[in-house]
Amino acid sequence: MSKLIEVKDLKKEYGNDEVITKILHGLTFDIDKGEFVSIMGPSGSGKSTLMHILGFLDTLSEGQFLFEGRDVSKLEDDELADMRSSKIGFVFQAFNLLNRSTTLENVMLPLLYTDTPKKERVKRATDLLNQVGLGHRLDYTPNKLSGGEKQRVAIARALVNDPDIIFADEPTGNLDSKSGLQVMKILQDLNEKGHSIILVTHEKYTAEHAKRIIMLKDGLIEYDQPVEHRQIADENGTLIK
Amino acid sequence: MNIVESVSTSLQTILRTKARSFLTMLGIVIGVMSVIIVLSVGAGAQSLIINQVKSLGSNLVGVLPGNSEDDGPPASAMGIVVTTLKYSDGQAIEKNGCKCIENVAMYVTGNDTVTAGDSNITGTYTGTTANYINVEDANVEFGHFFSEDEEKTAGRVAVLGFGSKDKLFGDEDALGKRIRIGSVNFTVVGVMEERGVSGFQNQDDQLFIPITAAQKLLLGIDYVNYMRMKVDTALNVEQAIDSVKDILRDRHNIATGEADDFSVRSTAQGLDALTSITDALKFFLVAIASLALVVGGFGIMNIMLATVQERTQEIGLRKAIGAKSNQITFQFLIESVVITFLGGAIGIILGALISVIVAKFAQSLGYSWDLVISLNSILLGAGVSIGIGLIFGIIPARRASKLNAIEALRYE
Repeated sequence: MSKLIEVKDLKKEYGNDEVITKILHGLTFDIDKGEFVSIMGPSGSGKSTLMHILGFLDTLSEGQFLFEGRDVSKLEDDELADMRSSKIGFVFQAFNLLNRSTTLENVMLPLLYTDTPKKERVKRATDLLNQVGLGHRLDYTPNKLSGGEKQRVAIARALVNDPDIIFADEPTGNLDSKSGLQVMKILQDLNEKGHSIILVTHEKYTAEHAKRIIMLKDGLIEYDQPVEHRQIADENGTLIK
Repeated sequence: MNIVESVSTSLQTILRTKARSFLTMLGIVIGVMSVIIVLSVGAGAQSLIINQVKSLGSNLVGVLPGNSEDDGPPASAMGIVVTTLKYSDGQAIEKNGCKCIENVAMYVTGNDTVTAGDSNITGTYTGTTANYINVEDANVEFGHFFSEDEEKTAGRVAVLGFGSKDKLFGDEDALGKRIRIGSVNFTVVGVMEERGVSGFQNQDDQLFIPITAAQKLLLGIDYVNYMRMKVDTALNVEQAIDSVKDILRDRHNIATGEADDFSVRSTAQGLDALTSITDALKFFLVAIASLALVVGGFGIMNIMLATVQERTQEIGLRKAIGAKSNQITFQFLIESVVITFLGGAIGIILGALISVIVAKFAQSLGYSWDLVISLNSILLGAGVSIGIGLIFGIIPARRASKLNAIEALRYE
């Protein structure tokens, strides 16, 4: 399998001349195309910072970061924006939908920044909303949707640019367990279809829906191993095994 | 995201917060409206003044005391008293001037209480020469204008304007009656024909006495305020001006190379000077009206800054899904420009409406008031409102674009 992400001795620190806070102390790992990886760890472990760097929202301080074999450690702001727009889909814990726009408009939003013709935008967004089971809610605004439905809209939005990888940051954190499982089911299905997914969570139970767990502690990798007893959900929000 | 979509997105945002958007654009509405009104009413007032001067005819030459630039007004036109022009100067022009000068009228004016029997008015009187009626094309209705003899000997005779007669004597016959100006008695020898309102001045409210009587008995001065002379045809106006200049320079002992101590103007030159004065006034008023636009601009900036704050999370999201900084700048800039442009459009419409109402009202009062709403002033209003959106929108838009995506996403 070809490598999607290669990280060597990645370090990240924040601060000015007076106070420097070291977050990541040197991480080395690879992620292949088609993998479903959980980045786990307690709060303060650096998992959010790592996700921001891998998701081109932030830059690393030291080390090497190759994306699809290309060194992306030293990209400028606009180049980072291009990478986010073409390679990455984000799903956030707080959904981050535009409350005054319809479901359809929310899903089309990333295409605004990629010169996609309007017709094409509507078609792709509609298809994806059908895929996540919300084809009948195209003109609803998010405040009329349940939490699970909102997160499914967010997943459709993350997919609309046909990204190489999806980052899901605590996607079930604001959901009841049934809706949470439905969301995990969608992510697992997407992974079956070949999408690469990185799930960021602090819950072992949620992390075990992935195939591999990278456990962070205090800015270092504590362990990096496959999931032995994988949690599998179905579309009704119940665990199969 | 292309500009059409940005504009339509902005319009949607604006429509979702109608009340706030309206209040935001109110400053621009008022500012643009004021500019349109000032320009239109200013042009109307200008046309009124200029029409009045034009109605005097194109074969008039005026002399004012004091030097002036060719295109500017002499100091005496601004109300500064210059005493260099004398009664004898006018007589010399009449005697020795170019044959093309048909008549010379000289003027002094004053204010005083005018009494006739029980009625008294505070009025403006004009001390002038017997030639007044020839120069100004005025006609006497009853009696006669005062004669050259009376003019030269400070005769205590007066000619009433139609309106003055009405105020002082009502329906009674005024001829031969006495009036008192200040403490000096005059006998009424004539009443002028009704002339109606011209410009800002009601010509019927005048009162004429011999210039020497006004100088010696009432004002105690030996100079004249101005002269007007009638030239036989408009073609000879230049020749007449030269001849007046020669005579006055000679009489005032002005050496070659020194500047005149008087200004000679034809009606055409006077029009130019008037136009430059009224233009200056107009632009001064526009400058004041523009202050409202600046205030409106700061209002826009204030609201846009609040909007950026409110939509921090949205900005964070847009950045996370691939929006570049300049695309965020562009979006917020377009939004402020759409607000100011809408405000400008409303201001133009309201301003034009009010200008029409003012013009109709002035016309209904009998003034020759032109309704002028120029394309330029509309383009100016539209251009300025877009410009204000850009100028006052750039700071909030830059602030939005500089937000850190990670922090903005977490912002509650």
